[in-house]
Amino acid sequence: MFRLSRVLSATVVFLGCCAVVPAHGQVEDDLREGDRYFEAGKYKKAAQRYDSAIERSPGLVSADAYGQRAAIFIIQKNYRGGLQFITERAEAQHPDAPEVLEQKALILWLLGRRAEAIDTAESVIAQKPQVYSNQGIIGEFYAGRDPARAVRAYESYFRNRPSSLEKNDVLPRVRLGFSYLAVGRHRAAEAQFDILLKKHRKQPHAEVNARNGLCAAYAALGKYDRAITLCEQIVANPRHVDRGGSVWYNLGRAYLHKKQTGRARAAGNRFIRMRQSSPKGYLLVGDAYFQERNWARALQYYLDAEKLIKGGRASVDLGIKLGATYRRLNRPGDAITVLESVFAVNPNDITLASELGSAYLASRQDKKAINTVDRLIQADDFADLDRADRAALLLIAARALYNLREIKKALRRYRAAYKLRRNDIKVRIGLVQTINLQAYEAMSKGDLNSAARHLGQAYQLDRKSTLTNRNLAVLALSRKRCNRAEKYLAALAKAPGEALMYHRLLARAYLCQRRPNRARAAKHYALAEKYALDPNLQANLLRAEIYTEWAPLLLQSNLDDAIDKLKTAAQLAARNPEVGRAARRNLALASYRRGWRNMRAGKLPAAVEDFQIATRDANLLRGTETRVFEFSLAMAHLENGESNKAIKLFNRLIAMDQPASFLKPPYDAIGLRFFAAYAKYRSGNSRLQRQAAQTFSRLQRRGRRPLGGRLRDLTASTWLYIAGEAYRTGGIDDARQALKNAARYATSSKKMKRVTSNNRIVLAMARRGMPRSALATLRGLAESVPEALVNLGILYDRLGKSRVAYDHWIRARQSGIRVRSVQQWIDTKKRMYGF
Amino acid sequence: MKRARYAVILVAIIALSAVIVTTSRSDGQRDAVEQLSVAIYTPMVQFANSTARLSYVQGLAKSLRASTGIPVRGLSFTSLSKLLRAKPDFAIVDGQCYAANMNWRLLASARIGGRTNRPWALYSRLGPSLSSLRGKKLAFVKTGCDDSDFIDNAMLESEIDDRFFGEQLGKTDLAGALALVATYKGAHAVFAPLGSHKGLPKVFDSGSVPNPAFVQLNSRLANDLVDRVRETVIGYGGSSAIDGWSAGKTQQYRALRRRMAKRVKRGLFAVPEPMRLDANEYLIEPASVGENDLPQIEQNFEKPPERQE
Repeated sequence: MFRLSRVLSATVVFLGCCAVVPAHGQVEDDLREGDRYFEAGKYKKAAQRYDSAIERSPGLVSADAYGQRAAIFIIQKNYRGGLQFITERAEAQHPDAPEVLEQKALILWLLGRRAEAIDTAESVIAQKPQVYSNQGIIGEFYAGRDPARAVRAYESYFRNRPSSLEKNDVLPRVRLGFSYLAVGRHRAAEAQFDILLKKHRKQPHAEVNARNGLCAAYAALGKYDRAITLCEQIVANPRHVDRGGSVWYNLGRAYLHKKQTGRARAAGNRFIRMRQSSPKGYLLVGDAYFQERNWARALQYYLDAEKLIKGGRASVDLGIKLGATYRRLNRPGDAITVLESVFAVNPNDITLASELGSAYLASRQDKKAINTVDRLIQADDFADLDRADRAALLLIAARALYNLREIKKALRRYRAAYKLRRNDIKVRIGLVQTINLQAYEAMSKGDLNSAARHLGQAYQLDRKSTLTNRNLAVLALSRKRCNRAEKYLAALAKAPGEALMYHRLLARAYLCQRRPNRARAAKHYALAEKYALDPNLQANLLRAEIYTEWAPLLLQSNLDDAIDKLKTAAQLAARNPEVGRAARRNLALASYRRGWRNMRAGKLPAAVEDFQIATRDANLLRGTETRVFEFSLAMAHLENGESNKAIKLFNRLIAMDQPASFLKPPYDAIGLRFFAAYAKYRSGNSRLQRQAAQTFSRLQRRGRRPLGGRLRDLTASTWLYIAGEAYRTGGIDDARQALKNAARYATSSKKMKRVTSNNRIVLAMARRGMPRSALATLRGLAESVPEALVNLGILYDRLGKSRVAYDHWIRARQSGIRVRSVQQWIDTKKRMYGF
Repeated sequence: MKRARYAVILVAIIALSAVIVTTSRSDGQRDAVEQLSVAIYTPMVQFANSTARLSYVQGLAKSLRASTGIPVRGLSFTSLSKLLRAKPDFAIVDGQCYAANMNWRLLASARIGGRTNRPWALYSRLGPSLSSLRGKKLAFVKTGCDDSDFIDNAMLESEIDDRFFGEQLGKTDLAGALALVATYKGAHAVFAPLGSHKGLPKVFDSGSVPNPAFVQLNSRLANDLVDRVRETVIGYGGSSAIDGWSAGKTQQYRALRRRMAKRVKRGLFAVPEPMRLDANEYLIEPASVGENDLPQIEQNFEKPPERQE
């Protein structure tokens, strides 16, 4: 109970001393006596004196004296008497005097007629704000009702109350402190509670209220550690927890800010138990779940809070939270529904507009996004908004315009946002991306200069942007400015996720230099390959590019590996005509090389396969490549025993009727017919060999002798083959004639001559048992023509010299003769004679 | 009514008889067989004696009779010509003789020692060397079935000319030929199946000769009868000389037939190595072979994200 009496009496005495009293000796004397008795605390006598003065001359008694007399009623706790005195006597003389009304307000307050008391007190302080007593009751009245009003009243109270009344400050300071909290003046609140603890700790209610208040103040001021320490101490003793449980809420908020979400939720749930009808607890727990990225649970609590929220800023905040949560649950539609409903009621709320705009972007409703934020951007008071808010709106607009491909407008918005917040990474990234998009469009049209210009702008904005640096590197490579490309690629060297492109492009840069560094290029291709093989990256086309460029560097060191890579590249790039074409061409060239390598190594089926790959697609080949490759394939077929295929190919080449410019002299002069004939010569088919012999003869007869003895030898060799086949099939006369022809041409080749001699003797042996001088001739041939040994053996056998015959056949076998009949003769001789 | 029924029955009987007659005549107009004969001439098979040979064939004839229901005579001859003059329906002849007369129909091949052929060798009382037999006498079984081809080509593989041996002495059967060499010393060497004489050293193996063949000489016999005969022969038990019979396979007799042909060593034609061309001599490799393509680098230009959100 507020004890005003003694204080007021002193005040009244003080005021009374200064008051001007109407002149009448007796009245003055009574009043003076009354004051003296009042000051001495002799209130009864003072009352008598005042009453006497009032009786004598009521009009001559001042308002102060009336006020003083009314104060005595309060001191004597005669509230009704006092009220009656005031209403019948004092107000009759001084109806609006603040000195009288002050006491009336106090009496009404003490009688419990608080509303009337406050009305009266407000009229007093309207005239005299320094009346601290009335300020006090006003403050007390509005403490739970109108915190702002309570703050004003209490501040006046503390400004004007005498220091002697300081010991009564506990409750006023408590109320003032909490009122400060309610109006958001947290520092002032903190100060009040600190004073309470410093000066009034021992007084009842002081410490517990001060600590609760400081718990809230610290939480509100962001002093979370101190808030947690203090609030935890409070909740440790349940008797110190206020009835509203706000300490739990403040503790929960502090936990949340310190990312102790579990504890925040626990505190929030304690608060909910104490204040089930307050949405704050649900919001707190919801925020904790949100921070834990448990969107579903967060949503659940936000929806519980929604049931309790009645509107105002809280509903806006909740709308934003719900919108954000729905978006994270990938329910943009719900997010938009919630945000639209709140936005309809709060169309100028910036945060809400940002959130709604973002939700529209997430659900690809770019036009709605732009419409939502553009209205605020175009508003007159846009410039008055906080920089961060303006930037947020511009960012949304820019993104929406980007998505709508209105690039120039998007750029304008981005640049405006960038001016406001240069350090905002989202703005910078978005702006850089938009400029890169401009550059990309220019590149697509082949306008490299424009692309370069745009990229230059992007580079000025962010020199570390991997997007920009990569594109600048590609542009530089495209323009063959390879050293510059290296410089841009340095930005990708350590950027996460860029290793593949870094190595791939750097390898290309090494290749494109004036003096290509093939070793380094190969090294970086190898590194790029490692990343490209990662199945998560799905970089098949890049892998194809890498292999297409890398494989030619491996042709000397590892031709097989190069071809494997090119085959893979061709497969991977099957759907990309550009890369696929390069891969297939390089594969054709490499296969051609390997075909000749295999030919020289005697791996003929492999050589055929390689040349087939090389000739698969003539559209990939240039100049004489098609003919050279097909020619090579024909030669491979021939060496592989597929003379028919070779002949077919040669004939096709002949039919092209083009000069054989890919043949060296003198072969270019005689042309492809020579090779077609050569294939027939190798065919093993007598008919074709006869054709070959004719062709060779014709070529000789045309006087084209640059091949020297080659044509003659070929002709002789061809006739020898024909003779052999004729002999084999029993055509002795044909064989004889063929041998004659062979002998005619085998003039320069000793080998051919020897073979011819041997075969002539064989024919003679078929006709008669022992041709003349056959033995001597065959002996002379034995060293160089192993077949002569066989024939010698036959002749000795005919002479009955079985052992000699056997020895010759053994020698023939040792010389490489692998004929079944000879082996049978040897076996028979062994078996029969025991050789 | 009764008459009609009888008429129907009579007509049916007549028709059935006509069918039977027609069927029996339709097999190449085969003759009705009242008696069969099977003859044997196998000088290469060492029966104990001629009686044993005769007993064998008669035993076989008995079996044939039992299976065919037709009387069968078993006959034994000492030469092929005599056998052929007797015109038996079936005959058992040595492999060599069947090889020389492959127009006969082979029904079965004899098994001797569990096999349908026997390895032969040249045996000599002068030792294992062929050279030592130059100018000496060779005993052989004179079958009358291209004997010289058999000796010179099948046994000697045309390796030895006809002047090698001083004389070739033919005997009526293997036992006689062996005896001529081993016992009577009238000859120095003989070709015989392996193991046919323990005392004579072997000079060399001369390859397998098919065992006797059971052949059909009378081509006018009904097929079903011949089939029965074949089945009976194949099922016929053995004796000391012939174990039994297996289904006849002509391949081995054909092989012997081929071996009996003279083999001439033909001279070997020399074939030159094919002349090869060196690619360096004639081919100009295009310079463009070194011009590998590079994919266009522009496609690595990164397009910014499709959307900003």
